[in-house]
Amino acid sequence: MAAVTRAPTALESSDAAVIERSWREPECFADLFDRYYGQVHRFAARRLGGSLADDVTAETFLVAFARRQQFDISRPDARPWLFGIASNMVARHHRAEIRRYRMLSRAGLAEVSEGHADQVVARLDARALRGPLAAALAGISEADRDVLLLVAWAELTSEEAGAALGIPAGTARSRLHRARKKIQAALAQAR
Amino acid sequence: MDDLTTLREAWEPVDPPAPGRQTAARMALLQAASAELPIRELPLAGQPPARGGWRRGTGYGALIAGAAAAAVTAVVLVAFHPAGAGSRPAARHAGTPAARLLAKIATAAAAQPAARVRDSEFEYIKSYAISTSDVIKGGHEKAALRKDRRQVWQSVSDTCRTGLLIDNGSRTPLSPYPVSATGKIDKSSPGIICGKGNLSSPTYRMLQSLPASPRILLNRIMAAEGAGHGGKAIDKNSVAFGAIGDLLREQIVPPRVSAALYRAAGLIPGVTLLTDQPTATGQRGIAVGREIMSGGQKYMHEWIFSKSTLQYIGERDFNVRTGAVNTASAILRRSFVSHAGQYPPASNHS
Repeated sequence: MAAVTRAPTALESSDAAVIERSWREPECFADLFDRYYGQVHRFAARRLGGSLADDVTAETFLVAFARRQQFDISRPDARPWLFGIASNMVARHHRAEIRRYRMLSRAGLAEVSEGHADQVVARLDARALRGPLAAALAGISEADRDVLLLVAWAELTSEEAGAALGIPAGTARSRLHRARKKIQAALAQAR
Repeated sequence: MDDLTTLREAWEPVDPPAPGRQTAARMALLQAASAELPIRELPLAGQPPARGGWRRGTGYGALIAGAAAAAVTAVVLVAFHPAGAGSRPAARHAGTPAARLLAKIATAAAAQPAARVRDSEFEYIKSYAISTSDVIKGGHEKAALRKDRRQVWQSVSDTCRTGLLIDNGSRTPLSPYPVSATGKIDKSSPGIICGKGNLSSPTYRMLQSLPASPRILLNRIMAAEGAGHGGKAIDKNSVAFGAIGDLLREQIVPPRVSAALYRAAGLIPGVTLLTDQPTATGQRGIAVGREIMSGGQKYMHEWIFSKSTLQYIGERDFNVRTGAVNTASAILRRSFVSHAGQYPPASNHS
């Protein structure tokens, strides 16, 4: 089965239309799975690693399916809704997420000093910055990190991230601003 | 490459699903579809479940961050592109008109009667907010206007007590724990810390415990926001102003603490006075604001107060160059109630 992980084109039904159809024809919800499984899995895998991401992604779609009657069909894009559920599922593994960032921060430093030494001299590529970025992520409050990663990794706007998390848009913007300052500080120190 | 792009690309390549897991997940979904599991909503407020809306994310803590001095006020949003984004700043330096106004606001806040609140109670905040986005994603601009009619109930004492969000009619239980498909709250999850909360996820009780000294309070906020990030690259003044704004947004703040927060804001350099600014509902008030840089753009974030009562009535955040408003809100009601989902009496405005 090849997963399709993209937003619908103009010729396809909107997410809202798919979900509305699934109210009467439940199996239609698989269309949403095909559109977004890959995106949700990548989001979860960045935060938790591949193994836990498998579980979290599967659970996200089951929860979304069970709660599809509550989806606001006036909003055509289901991604904020899906990623809000995914964030809720990721929260169950909060400790594992922090352990992962700490592990990556140590591994990342080794990479910078050894395997990518030439790039350190020239210009550190994004991968080589993963260590300091992971260290920064481990130190950002959970609330701020949720918004940051919905924007950076799920590619939501801050307003969509706020909607996904049930927080006011102003709070989402403020949290994103705070978290980015810390990420920028980590990057400035690393460079 | 900006920081968000770097953050995204630093995690490439991403672990793919283990072989067979995607197929298994799809089959599980189709099995659920064929079985059509019954959905049970959480019994909240004895009202019929409304359709629509978003799921809540990581939790109660993540949900709130706002607080405000005291009572009530209404707001509603008006112009989304206010020409020039309002009046000119009346002061460019801290300690001048903005600080004097904040001192008056603090005095007014401190004069509010402190509510007698039981640990079992919830605070209820009704607000109206609009937001838009000037971020370009996936090759197209996300410029759609979003309107949120929010009603939030949150425990005054314990971040783990289940609250409620009604956003545009959609009901969502608020809990730091994962909420299952059936609405069951899984309290077995590790790593969830219950209690009074913290500066980024406060309860009323937590706010009551904050120091009344503006300088000590400001230092604590700056330390909390800057801890572990080594610093110099972080604009602590900007972050502190934003953090105080979060505490004023969607919460009830004890009078003594709200006074301290306003005086603390008066200590932050760069806070300016703006004399006539609209909230999300168009009510005009007097405001203090501070410019922040974000994503290479300069924004003004301002808190708006009633000209007559000096109570917080809303906020806005706009692009200084274009005048486009990103977010604006209006506080319509704040009150304590006995349980999540309960509405305050119509005549109760405290």
